[in-house]
Amino acid sequence: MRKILIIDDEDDIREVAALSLEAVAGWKVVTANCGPEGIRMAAAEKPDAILLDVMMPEMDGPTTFKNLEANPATKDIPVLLLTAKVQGVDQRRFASLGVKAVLFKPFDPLTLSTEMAAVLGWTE
Amino acid sequence: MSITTPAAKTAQLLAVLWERNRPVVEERMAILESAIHALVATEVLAPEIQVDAANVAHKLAGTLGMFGYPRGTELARMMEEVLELQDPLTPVEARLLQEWFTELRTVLAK
Repeated sequence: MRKILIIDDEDDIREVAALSLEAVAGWKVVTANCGPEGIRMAAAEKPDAILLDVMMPEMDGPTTFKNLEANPATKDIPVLLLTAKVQGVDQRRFASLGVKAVLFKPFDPLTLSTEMAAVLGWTE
Repeated sequence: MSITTPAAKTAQLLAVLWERNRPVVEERMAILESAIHALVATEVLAPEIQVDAANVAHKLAGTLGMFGYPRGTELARMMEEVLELQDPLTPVEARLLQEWFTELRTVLAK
């Protein structure tokens, strides 16, 4: 069973994304409400992928991603950035970080897992 | 009738989550309303209030659509873009914010 780590400071986003991935795709989901907690959980839980919010207080998504990349225990875990910023300049900036994909809020809870599986190349 | 498909189960649970998160949405709406009211009344908006309002508009834009309110996301996104402007907001922009906020209230009341 696939395991996904969701890192987002907003309760409603975490809850809906977790519901979506668990109920629709049958994946296991673990969550963190900030970058530092997400970094710890990524190393401990070894998820198959990380869904990472961009705008968070304390440590934002891009900084969290850089920390994940710098850690040998987490550097190979694919990261998908999640953002409500839709302007092209933001999209290009996020894509240039080296993440696997940039997904947009609001996502459709019924198709989020399909979208993730497609960009991650998960066919089963 | 039992819920059989993952999609139906998800839709039902989403409705529960929406009700649970309504107070947070209302808090965000109140912050937006207060900022827009101040802007319309005084024609100026303190920078920290404008930043707060832009932040809650951003959060509303990112969440309303996933609960089945795509127009809510559009309206919140338009408000966010105006509130992120660096120049002082004009009376025209203030009126637009007020109109969009009123429409957003109507959308969420359905």
